Amino acid sequence: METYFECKSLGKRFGNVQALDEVNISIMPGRVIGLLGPNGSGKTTLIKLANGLLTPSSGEISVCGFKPGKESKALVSYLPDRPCLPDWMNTRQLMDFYQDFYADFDRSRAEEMLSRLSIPDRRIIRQMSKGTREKVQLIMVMSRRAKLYLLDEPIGGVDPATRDYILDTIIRNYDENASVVISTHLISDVENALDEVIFLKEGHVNMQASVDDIREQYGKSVDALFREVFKC
Amino acid sequence: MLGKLIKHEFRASGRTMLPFLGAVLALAVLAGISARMIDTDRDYGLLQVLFGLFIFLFVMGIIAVCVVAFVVMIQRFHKNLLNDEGYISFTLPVTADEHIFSKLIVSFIWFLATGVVLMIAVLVMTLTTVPGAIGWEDFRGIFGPDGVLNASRIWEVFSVWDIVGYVLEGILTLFIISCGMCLHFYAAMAIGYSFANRKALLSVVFYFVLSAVMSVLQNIAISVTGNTGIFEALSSINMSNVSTSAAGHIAMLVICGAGLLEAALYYIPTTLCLRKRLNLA
Repeated sequence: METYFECKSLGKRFGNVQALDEVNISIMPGRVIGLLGPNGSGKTTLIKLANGLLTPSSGEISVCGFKPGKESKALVSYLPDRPCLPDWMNTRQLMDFYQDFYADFDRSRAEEMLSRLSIPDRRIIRQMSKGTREKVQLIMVMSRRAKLYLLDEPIGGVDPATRDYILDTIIRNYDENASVVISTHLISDVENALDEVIFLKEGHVNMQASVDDIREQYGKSVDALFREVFKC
Repeated sequence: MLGKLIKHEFRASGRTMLPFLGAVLALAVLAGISARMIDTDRDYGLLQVLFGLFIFLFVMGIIAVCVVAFVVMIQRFHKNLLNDEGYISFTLPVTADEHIFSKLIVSFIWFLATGVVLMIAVLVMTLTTVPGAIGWEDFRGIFGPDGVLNASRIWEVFSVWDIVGYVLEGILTLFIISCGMCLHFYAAMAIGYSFANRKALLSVVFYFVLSAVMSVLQNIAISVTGNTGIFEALSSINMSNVSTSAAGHIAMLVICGAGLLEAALYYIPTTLCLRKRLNLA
Protein backbone atom coordinates (compact mmCIF):
# COMPACT_ATOMS: atom_id res chain seq x y z
CA MET A 1 0.00 0.00 0.00
CA GLU A 2 1.22 3.49 -0.86
CA THR A 3 2.47 5.51 2.09
CA TYR A 4 1.07 9.05 2.34
CA PHE A 5 3.98 10.44 4.29
CA GLU A 6 7.49 9.06 4.55
CA CYS A 7 10.74 10.39 6.02
CA LYS A 8 14.08 8.61 5.63
CA SER A 9 16.98 9.81 7.79
CA LEU A 10 15.48 13.28 7.63
CA GLY A 11 17.49 16.08 9.23
CA LYS A 12 17.04 19.83 9.53
CA ARG A 13 19.61 22.18 10.94
CA PHE A 14 19.18 25.89 11.70
CA GLY A 15 22.68 27.28 12.14
CA ASN A 16 24.10 25.41 15.13
CA VAL A 17 20.76 23.98 16.18
CA GLN A 18 19.83 20.49 14.97
CA ALA A 19 16.02 20.76 14.91
CA LEU A 20 15.48 17.27 13.43
CA ASP A 21 17.94 14.41 13.27
CA GLU A 22 17.67 10.99 11.59
CA VAL A 23 13.88 11.07 11.55
CA ASN A 24 12.29 7.96 10.04
CA ILE A 25 8.50 7.97 9.78
CA SER A 26 5.99 6.15 7.63
CA ILE A 27 2.28 6.99 7.57
CA MET A 28 -0.27 4.78 5.82
CA PRO A 29 -3.67 5.88 4.43
CA GLY A 30 -6.77 6.04 6.61
CA ARG A 31 -5.01 6.80 9.90
CA VAL A 32 -5.32 9.61 12.42
CA ILE A 33 -1.86 10.25 13.83
CA GLY A 34 -0.89 12.37 16.77
CA LEU A 35 2.48 14.07 16.33
CA LEU A 36 3.26 14.58 19.98
CA GLY A 37 6.08 16.29 21.75
CA PRO A 38 6.86 19.22 24.01
CA ASN A 39 7.53 22.71 22.67
CA GLY A 40 10.72 22.80 20.62
CA SER A 41 10.72 19.07 19.88
CA GLY A 42 10.56 19.65 16.08
CA LYS A 43 6.84 19.10 15.34
CA THR A 44 6.33 22.35 13.42
CA THR A 45 9.66 21.93 11.60
CA LEU A 46 8.60 18.46 10.43
CA ILE A 47 5.22 19.74 9.20
CA LYS A 48 6.86 22.70 7.46
CA LEU A 49 9.27 20.32 5.71
CA ALA A 50 6.32 18.20 4.54
CA ASN A 51 4.70 21.32 3.10
CA GLY A 52 7.81 22.54 1.30
CA LEU A 53 8.04 25.62 3.55
CA LEU A 54 11.52 24.45 4.56
CA THR A 55 14.08 22.36 2.73
CA PRO A 56 15.75 19.39 4.46
CA SER A 57 19.42 19.60 5.45
CA SER A 58 19.75 15.83 5.00
CA GLY A 59 17.68 12.75 4.23
CA GLU A 60 14.52 12.38 2.21
CA ILE A 61 10.88 13.27 2.61
CA SER A 62 8.00 12.19 0.41
CA VAL A 63 4.36 13.21 0.57
CA CYS A 64 1.76 11.15 -1.32
CA GLY A 65 4.57 9.78 -3.47
CA PHE A 66 6.08 13.17 -4.35
CA LYS A 67 8.86 15.32 -2.99
CA PRO A 68 7.25 18.41 -1.41
CA GLY A 69 6.32 20.64 -4.35
CA LYS A 70 3.52 21.62 -6.69
CA GLU A 71 2.18 18.05 -7.06
CA SER A 72 2.19 17.20 -3.35
CA LYS A 73 0.62 20.54 -2.39
CA ALA A 74 -2.42 19.70 -4.51
CA LEU A 75 -2.96 16.61 -2.34
CA VAL A 76 -2.14 17.97 1.12
CA SER A 77 -4.37 20.19 3.22
CA TYR A 78 -2.34 22.17 5.73
CA LEU A 79 -3.43 24.07 8.80
CA PRO A 80 -0.63 26.36 10.04
CA ASP A 81 -0.13 27.02 13.74
CA ARG A 82 -1.39 30.60 13.40
CA PRO A 83 -4.23 32.43 11.66
CA CYS A 84 -2.83 33.57 8.33
CA LEU A 85 -5.78 34.04 5.99
CA PRO A 86 -5.64 37.19 3.83
CA ASP A 87 -7.42 39.60 6.20
CA TRP A 88 -8.94 41.78 3.46
CA MET A 89 -11.01 38.94 2.00
CA ASN A 90 -14.55 38.11 3.01
CA THR A 91 -15.59 34.48 3.43
CA ARG A 92 -17.06 34.31 -0.08
CA GLN A 93 -13.83 35.58 -1.63
CA LEU A 94 -11.93 33.11 0.54
CA MET A 95 -14.02 30.22 -0.81
CA ASP A 96 -13.47 31.51 -4.38
CA PHE A 97 -9.74 31.51 -3.64
CA TYR A 98 -9.69 27.91 -2.34
CA GLN A 99 -11.97 26.74 -5.16
CA ASP A 100 -9.69 28.32 -7.78
CA PHE A 101 -6.54 26.66 -6.54
CA TYR A 102 -7.71 23.32 -5.14
CA ALA A 103 -9.65 20.94 -7.36
CA ASP A 104 -10.64 18.95 -4.25
CA PHE A 105 -12.27 21.91 -2.45
CA ASP A 106 -15.87 21.09 -1.55
CA ARG A 107 -17.60 24.47 -1.49
CA SER A 108 -20.97 23.19 -0.31
CA ARG A 109 -19.29 21.57 2.67
CA ALA A 110 -17.56 24.85 3.55
CA GLU A 111 -20.80 26.82 3.16
CA GLU A 112 -22.63 24.39 5.40
CA MET A 113 -19.98 24.61 8.14
CA LEU A 114 -19.90 28.41 7.93
CA SER A 115 -23.67 28.64 8.17
CA ARG A 116 -23.64 26.33 11.22
CA LEU A 117 -21.37 28.91 12.86
CA SER A 118 -23.65 31.72 11.60
CA ILE A 119 -20.77 33.39 9.74
CA PRO A 120 -22.22 35.45 6.85
CA ASP A 121 -20.46 35.08 3.49
CA ARG A 122 -19.78 38.81 3.29
CA ARG A 123 -18.03 38.97 6.67
CA ILE A 124 -14.47 40.29 6.24
CA ILE A 125 -11.75 38.22 7.92
CA ARG A 126 -10.25 41.36 9.53
CA GLN A 127 -13.53 41.97 11.36
CA MET A 128 -13.58 38.50 12.94
CA SER A 129 -12.32 37.60 16.39
CA LYS A 130 -9.15 35.49 16.62
CA GLY A 131 -11.20 32.41 17.54
CA THR A 132 -13.55 32.86 14.58
CA ARG A 133 -10.60 33.32 12.21
CA GLU A 134 -9.12 30.05 13.46
CA LYS A 135 -12.44 28.28 12.92
CA VAL A 136 -12.81 29.72 9.40
CA GLN A 137 -9.26 28.64 8.57
CA LEU A 138 -9.99 25.12 9.84
CA ILE A 139 -13.22 25.02 7.82
CA MET A 140 -11.29 25.87 4.64
CA VAL A 141 -8.70 23.20 5.38
CA MET A 142 -11.23 20.50 6.26
CA SER A 143 -13.46 21.35 3.27
CA ARG A 144 -10.85 19.90 0.97
CA ARG A 145 -11.05 16.22 0.07
CA ALA A 146 -7.31 15.87 0.47
CA LYS A 147 -5.26 12.70 0.83
CA LEU A 148 -3.28 14.02 3.76
CA TYR A 149 -4.23 16.62 6.36
CA LEU A 150 -1.35 18.18 8.25
CA LEU A 151 -2.74 20.12 11.19
CA ASP A 152 -0.22 22.07 13.24
CA GLU A 153 -1.45 22.80 16.77
CA PRO A 154 -5.14 23.01 15.78
CA ILE A 155 -6.27 23.20 19.40
CA GLY A 156 -3.45 25.27 20.87
CA GLY A 157 -4.51 28.51 22.55
CA VAL A 158 -8.28 28.09 22.21
CA ASP A 159 -10.99 27.70 24.87
CA PRO A 160 -12.34 24.19 25.69
CA ALA A 161 -15.62 24.75 23.80
CA THR A 162 -13.75 25.80 20.64
CA ARG A 163 -11.38 22.86 21.17
CA ASP A 164 -14.37 20.49 21.05
CA TYR A 165 -15.70 22.20 17.93
CA ILE A 166 -12.32 21.92 16.18
CA LEU A 167 -11.82 18.24 17.02
CA ASP A 168 -15.40 17.45 16.02
CA THR A 169 -14.89 19.28 12.70
CA ILE A 170 -11.69 17.33 12.01
CA ILE A 171 -13.15 13.92 12.83
CA ARG A 172 -16.42 14.51 10.94
CA ASN A 173 -14.86 15.83 7.76
CA TYR A 174 -11.78 13.89 6.81
CA ASP A 175 -12.12 11.31 4.12
CA GLU A 176 -11.92 7.67 5.27
CA ASN A 177 -9.02 6.96 2.95
CA ALA A 178 -7.13 10.06 3.95
CA SER A 179 -4.62 10.37 6.76
CA VAL A 180 -4.68 13.11 9.37
CA VAL A 181 -1.59 14.25 11.26
CA ILE A 182 -2.41 16.34 14.33
CA SER A 183 0.53 18.04 15.98
CA THR A 184 -0.12 18.95 19.60
CA HIS A 185 1.07 18.70 23.16
CA LEU A 186 -2.49 18.66 24.54
CA ILE A 187 -2.70 14.87 24.47
CA SER A 188 -5.74 14.23 26.66
CA ASP A 189 -7.94 16.30 24.34
CA VAL A 190 -7.04 14.38 21.19
CA GLU A 191 -6.25 10.93 22.55
CA ASN A 192 -9.63 9.40 21.79
CA ALA A 193 -9.47 10.50 18.18
CA LEU A 194 -6.04 8.99 17.47
CA ASP A 195 -5.13 5.67 15.81
CA GLU A 196 -1.39 6.16 16.12
CA VAL A 197 1.09 8.39 17.88
CA ILE A 198 4.57 9.62 17.06
CA PHE A 199 6.58 10.94 19.98
CA LEU A 200 9.16 13.56 19.00
CA LYS A 201 11.86 14.39 21.52
CA GLU A 202 14.60 16.93 20.82
CA GLY A 203 14.38 16.34 17.10
CA HIS A 204 14.38 12.54 17.27
CA VAL A 205 11.52 10.07 16.87
CA ASN A 206 11.20 8.54 20.30
CA MET A 207 8.35 6.22 19.39
CA GLN A 208 5.84 5.45 16.64
CA ALA A 209 3.09 3.09 17.77
CA SER A 210 -0.62 2.49 17.58
CA VAL A 211 -2.72 3.75 20.48
CA ASP A 212 -4.07 0.22 21.08
CA ASP A 213 -0.55 -1.21 21.29
CA ILE A 214 0.47 1.45 23.81
CA ARG A 215 -2.51 0.69 26.03
CA GLU A 216 -1.86 -3.05 25.73
CA GLN A 217 1.91 -2.96 26.12
CA TYR A 218 2.28 -0.24 28.77
CA GLY A 219 -1.11 -0.56 30.43
CA LYS A 220 -1.61 3.19 30.43
CA SER A 221 -3.10 5.97 28.37
CA VAL A 222 -1.11 7.89 25.76
CA ASP A 223 -1.33 10.96 27.99
CA ALA A 224 0.16 9.05 30.97
CA LEU A 225 2.92 7.59 28.80
CA PHE A 226 3.68 11.04 27.33
CA ARG A 227 4.05 12.51 30.83
CA GLU A 228 6.42 9.66 31.73
CA VAL A 229 8.55 9.92 28.58
CA PHE A 230 8.79 13.72 28.65
CA LYS A 231 9.12 14.10 32.39
CA CYS A 232 11.28 17.15 33.19
CA MET B 1 -2.33 28.52 -12.32
CA LEU B 2 -0.43 31.70 -13.28
CA GLY B 3 -3.70 33.17 -14.56
CA LYS B 4 -5.44 32.42 -11.27
CA LEU B 5 -2.59 33.97 -9.30
CA ILE B 6 -2.80 37.08 -11.48
CA LYS B 7 -6.57 37.26 -10.95
CA HIS B 8 -6.24 37.16 -7.16
CA GLU B 9 -3.27 39.54 -7.26
CA PHE B 10 -5.45 42.05 -9.12
CA ARG B 11 -8.20 41.61 -6.54
CA ALA B 12 -5.76 42.26 -3.71
CA SER B 13 -3.97 45.25 -5.25
CA GLY B 14 -7.01 46.70 -7.03
CA ARG B 15 -8.61 47.51 -3.67
CA THR B 16 -5.90 50.14 -3.19
CA MET B 17 -5.05 51.14 -6.75
CA LEU B 18 -8.51 51.63 -8.28
CA PRO B 19 -9.77 54.22 -5.75
CA PHE B 20 -6.56 56.24 -6.19
CA LEU B 21 -6.76 56.14 -9.98
CA GLY B 22 -10.46 57.06 -9.85
CA ALA B 23 -9.72 59.90 -7.43
CA VAL B 24 -7.09 61.39 -9.77
CA LEU B 25 -9.56 61.37 -12.68
CA ALA B 26 -12.28 62.92 -10.50
CA LEU B 27 -9.90 65.63 -9.27
CA ALA B 28 -8.89 66.37 -12.89
CA VAL B 29 -12.54 66.97 -13.76
CA LEU B 30 -13.14 69.12 -10.64
CA ALA B 31 -9.99 71.18 -11.23
CA GLY B 32 -11.01 71.66 -14.88
CA ILE B 33 -14.56 72.73 -13.99
CA SER B 34 -13.39 75.18 -11.33
CA ALA B 35 -10.85 76.67 -13.77
CA ARG B 36 -13.55 77.06 -16.41
CA MET B 37 -15.90 78.79 -13.98
CA ILE B 38 -13.21 81.34 -13.08
CA ASP B 39 -13.19 82.43 -16.72
CA THR B 40 -16.95 82.80 -16.91
CA ASP B 41 -17.84 84.08 -13.46
CA ARG B 42 -16.99 87.45 -12.01
CA ASP B 43 -17.07 86.29 -8.39
CA TYR B 44 -13.44 85.29 -8.21
CA GLY B 45 -12.96 84.90 -4.43
CA LEU B 46 -14.49 81.51 -3.59
CA LEU B 47 -13.92 80.04 -7.04
CA GLN B 48 -10.27 80.93 -6.99
CA VAL B 49 -9.91 79.23 -3.63
CA LEU B 50 -11.72 76.17 -4.99
CA PHE B 51 -9.59 76.16 -8.14
CA GLY B 52 -6.42 76.41 -6.06
CA LEU B 53 -7.63 73.65 -3.77
CA PHE B 54 -8.53 71.28 -6.62
CA ILE B 55 -5.30 71.96 -8.48
CA PHE B 56 -3.37 71.32 -5.26
CA LEU B 57 -5.32 68.10 -4.65
CA PHE B 58 -4.87 67.06 -8.28
CA VAL B 59 -1.08 67.47 -8.07
CA MET B 60 -1.04 65.69 -4.71
CA GLY B 61 -3.20 62.96 -6.24
CA ILE B 62 -0.72 62.49 -9.10
CA ILE B 63 2.18 62.20 -6.65
CA ALA B 64 0.15 59.91 -4.36
CA VAL B 65 -0.91 57.51 -7.12
CA CYS B 66 2.72 57.14 -8.30
CA VAL B 67 3.91 56.50 -4.73
CA VAL B 68 1.03 54.09 -4.04
CA ALA B 69 1.72 52.06 -7.21
CA PHE B 70 5.27 51.66 -5.97
CA VAL B 71 4.31 50.87 -2.36
CA VAL B 72 1.69 48.31 -3.46
CA MET B 73 4.34 46.54 -5.56
CA ILE B 74 6.62 46.17 -2.52
CA GLN B 75 3.86 45.54 0.02
CA ARG B 76 2.20 42.73 -1.98
CA PHE B 77 5.49 40.79 -2.23
CA HIS B 78 6.29 41.37 1.44
CA LYS B 79 2.85 40.63 2.88
CA ASN B 80 1.77 37.87 0.53
CA LEU B 81 5.00 35.88 0.39
CA LEU B 82 7.24 36.75 3.34
CA ASN B 83 4.78 37.24 6.18
CA ASP B 84 2.01 35.09 7.69
CA GLU B 85 0.09 35.02 4.40
CA GLY B 86 3.12 33.18 3.01
CA TYR B 87 1.89 30.04 4.81
CA ILE B 88 -1.15 30.11 2.52
CA SER B 89 0.68 31.29 -0.62
CA PHE B 90 3.52 28.77 -0.46
CA THR B 91 1.20 25.82 0.17
CA LEU B 92 -0.81 26.51 -2.97
CA PRO B 93 -0.07 24.07 -5.81
CA VAL B 94 2.01 26.65 -7.68
CA THR B 95 5.74 27.23 -8.04
CA ALA B 96 7.76 30.09 -6.55
CA ASP B 97 8.43 31.26 -10.13
CA GLU B 98 4.69 31.55 -10.81
CA HIS B 99 4.33 33.65 -7.65
CA ILE B 100 7.13 35.98 -8.78
CA PHE B 101 5.83 36.31 -12.35
CA SER B 102 2.27 37.00 -11.22
CA LYS B 103 3.52 39.89 -9.11
CA LEU B 104 5.78 41.22 -11.87
CA ILE B 105 2.97 41.17 -14.43
CA VAL B 106 0.41 42.79 -12.13
CA SER B 107 2.87 45.47 -10.96
CA PHE B 108 3.70 46.30 -14.59
CA ILE B 109 0.03 46.60 -15.48
CA TRP B 110 -0.57 48.97 -12.55
CA PHE B 111 2.47 51.08 -13.53
CA LEU B 112 1.15 51.21 -17.09
CA ALA B 113 -2.38 52.00 -15.89
CA THR B 114 -1.00 54.79 -13.69
CA GLY B 115 0.82 56.34 -16.67
CA VAL B 116 -2.25 56.06 -18.92
CA VAL B 117 -4.58 57.49 -16.23
CA LEU B 118 -2.22 60.43 -15.65
CA MET B 119 -2.21 61.22 -19.37
CA ILE B 120 -6.01 60.93 -19.52
CA ALA B 121 -6.31 63.10 -16.39
CA VAL B 122 -4.27 65.91 -17.94
CA LEU B 123 -6.28 65.63 -21.17
CA VAL B 124 -9.59 65.60 -19.26
CA MET B 125 -8.57 68.64 -17.22
CA THR B 126 -7.55 70.54 -20.36
CA LEU B 127 -10.77 69.66 -22.18
CA THR B 128 -12.93 70.49 -19.16
CA THR B 129 -11.19 73.82 -18.65
CA VAL B 130 -11.52 74.90 -22.28
CA PRO B 131 -13.94 72.71 -24.29
CA GLY B 132 -12.52 72.16 -27.74
CA ALA B 133 -9.03 73.18 -26.59
CA ILE B 134 -7.68 70.12 -28.34
CA GLY B 135 -9.18 69.25 -31.71
CA TRP B 136 -8.35 67.65 -35.03
CA GLU B 137 -6.54 70.82 -36.04
CA ASP B 138 -3.95 70.19 -33.34
CA PHE B 139 -3.37 66.65 -34.57
CA ARG B 140 -3.12 67.99 -38.10
CA GLY B 141 -0.60 70.49 -36.81
CA ILE B 142 1.52 67.70 -35.38
CA PHE B 143 1.13 65.06 -38.07
CA GLY B 144 0.47 67.39 -41.05
CA PRO B 145 3.00 68.36 -43.75
CA ASP B 146 4.51 71.11 -41.56
CA GLY B 147 4.17 69.21 -38.27
CA VAL B 148 6.88 67.78 -36.04
CA LEU B 149 5.80 64.25 -36.94
CA ASN B 150 5.10 64.52 -40.63
CA ALA B 151 2.83 61.51 -41.29
CA SER B 152 3.58 61.20 -45.01
CA ARG B 153 7.33 61.34 -44.28
CA ILE B 154 6.90 58.70 -41.53
CA TRP B 155 5.13 56.31 -43.95
CA GLU B 156 7.94 56.76 -46.47
CA VAL B 157 10.48 55.47 -43.95
CA PHE B 158 8.45 53.05 -41.78
CA SER B 159 5.97 50.39 -42.84
CA VAL B 160 2.87 49.42 -40.81
CA TRP B 161 4.79 46.41 -39.50
CA ASP B 162 7.62 48.68 -38.38
CA ILE B 163 5.19 50.75 -36.34
CA VAL B 164 3.56 47.61 -34.88
CA GLY B 165 7.04 46.28 -34.13
CA TYR B 166 8.06 49.51 -32.36
CA VAL B 167 4.90 49.47 -30.26
CA LEU B 168 5.48 45.84 -29.25
CA GLU B 169 9.20 46.46 -28.63
CA GLY B 170 8.30 49.54 -26.60
CA ILE B 171 5.86 47.59 -24.42
CA LEU B 172 8.40 44.77 -24.04
CA THR B 173 11.12 47.26 -23.08
CA LEU B 174 8.85 48.93 -20.51
CA PHE B 175 7.91 45.49 -19.13
CA ILE B 176 11.54 44.43 -18.80
CA ILE B 177 12.51 47.73 -17.15
CA SER B 178 9.55 47.40 -14.76
CA CYS B 179 10.57 43.79 -13.98
CA GLY B 180 14.18 44.82 -13.34
CA MET B 181 13.08 47.54 -10.92
CA CYS B 182 10.62 45.26 -9.07
CA LEU B 183 13.10 42.38 -8.94
CA HIS B 184 15.73 44.62 -7.35
CA PHE B 185 13.32 45.10 -4.41
CA TYR B 186 12.14 41.46 -4.48
CA ALA B 187 15.70 40.11 -4.41
CA ALA B 188 16.64 42.37 -1.49
CA MET B 189 13.56 41.31 0.49
CA ALA B 190 13.89 37.61 -0.39
CA ILE B 191 17.51 37.60 0.81
CA GLY B 192 16.82 39.74 3.90
CA TYR B 193 13.85 37.61 4.98
CA SER B 194 15.81 34.37 4.62
CA PHE B 195 17.66 35.29 7.82
CA ALA B 196 16.27 34.54 11.27
CA ASN B 197 16.47 38.04 12.74
CA ARG B 198 16.44 41.71 11.65
CA LYS B 199 14.78 40.73 8.39
CA ALA B 200 13.53 44.20 7.40
CA LEU B 201 16.83 45.89 8.20
CA LEU B 202 18.77 43.25 6.25
CA SER B 203 16.43 43.75 3.28
CA VAL B 204 17.37 47.45 3.18
CA VAL B 205 21.06 46.58 3.50
CA PHE B 206 20.81 44.02 0.69
CA TYR B 207 19.05 46.54 -1.54
CA PHE B 208 22.16 48.72 -1.44
CA VAL B 209 24.51 45.73 -1.63
CA LEU B 210 22.74 44.55 -4.79
CA SER B 211 22.92 48.09 -6.23
CA ALA B 212 26.66 48.15 -5.59
CA VAL B 213 27.16 44.66 -7.07
CA MET B 214 25.15 45.59 -10.16
CA SER B 215 27.16 48.78 -10.57
CA VAL B 216 30.45 46.84 -10.38
CA LEU B 217 29.16 44.26 -12.89
CA GLN B 218 28.11 47.04 -15.29
CA ASN B 219 31.58 48.61 -15.05
CA ILE B 220 33.23 45.22 -15.64
CA ALA B 221 30.94 44.59 -18.62
CA ILE B 222 31.80 47.97 -20.12
CA SER B 223 35.54 47.50 -19.66
CA VAL B 224 35.44 43.91 -21.01
CA THR B 225 33.40 44.87 -24.07
CA GLY B 226 35.66 47.89 -24.56
CA ASN B 227 38.82 45.80 -24.44
CA THR B 228 37.49 43.24 -26.87
CA GLY B 229 37.00 45.95 -29.46
CA ILE B 230 33.24 45.48 -29.76
CA PHE B 231 32.62 49.24 -29.76
CA GLU B 232 35.22 49.79 -32.48
CA ALA B 233 33.68 46.98 -34.53
CA LEU B 234 30.21 48.46 -34.11
CA SER B 235 31.33 51.96 -35.02
CA SER B 236 33.06 50.66 -38.15
CA ILE B 237 29.80 49.26 -39.53
CA ASN B 238 28.69 51.26 -42.49
CA MET B 239 25.31 52.52 -41.23
CA SER B 240 24.31 53.59 -44.70
CA ASN B 241 23.69 49.87 -45.41
CA VAL B 242 21.25 49.68 -42.47
CA SER B 243 17.83 51.22 -42.99
CA THR B 244 16.52 53.75 -40.44
CA SER B 245 13.75 51.40 -39.35
CA ALA B 246 16.15 48.47 -38.90
CA ALA B 247 18.52 50.66 -36.87
CA GLY B 248 15.58 51.59 -34.62
CA HIS B 249 14.64 47.93 -34.09
CA ILE B 250 18.26 47.01 -33.34
CA ALA B 251 18.49 49.82 -30.75
CA MET B 252 15.24 48.72 -29.08
CA LEU B 253 16.36 45.09 -28.95
CA VAL B 254 19.75 46.03 -27.49
CA ILE B 255 17.96 47.98 -24.72
CA CYS B 256 15.66 44.94 -24.14
CA GLY B 257 18.66 42.59 -23.97
CA ALA B 258 20.52 44.76 -21.46
CA GLY B 259 17.38 45.12 -19.31
CA LEU B 260 16.71 41.40 -19.51
CA LEU B 261 20.21 40.60 -18.32
CA GLU B 262 19.87 42.93 -15.34
CA ALA B 263 16.42 41.53 -14.48
CA ALA B 264 17.80 37.97 -14.71
CA LEU B 265 20.62 38.83 -12.29
CA TYR B 266 18.03 39.98 -9.73
CA TYR B 267 15.67 37.09 -10.51
CA ILE B 268 18.16 34.34 -9.65
CA PRO B 269 18.64 35.23 -5.94
CA THR B 270 14.91 35.93 -5.60
CA THR B 271 13.79 32.53 -6.84
CA LEU B 272 16.60 30.67 -5.06
CA CYS B 273 15.76 32.28 -1.70
CA LEU B 274 12.04 31.58 -2.06
CA ARG B 275 12.65 27.98 -3.08
CA LYS B 276 15.58 26.97 -0.91
CA ARG B 277 15.90 29.47 1.94
CA LEU B 278 12.30 30.35 2.75
CA ASN B 279 12.18 31.23 6.44
CA LEU B 280 8.68 32.34 7.39
CA ALA B 281 8.45 33.70 10.93
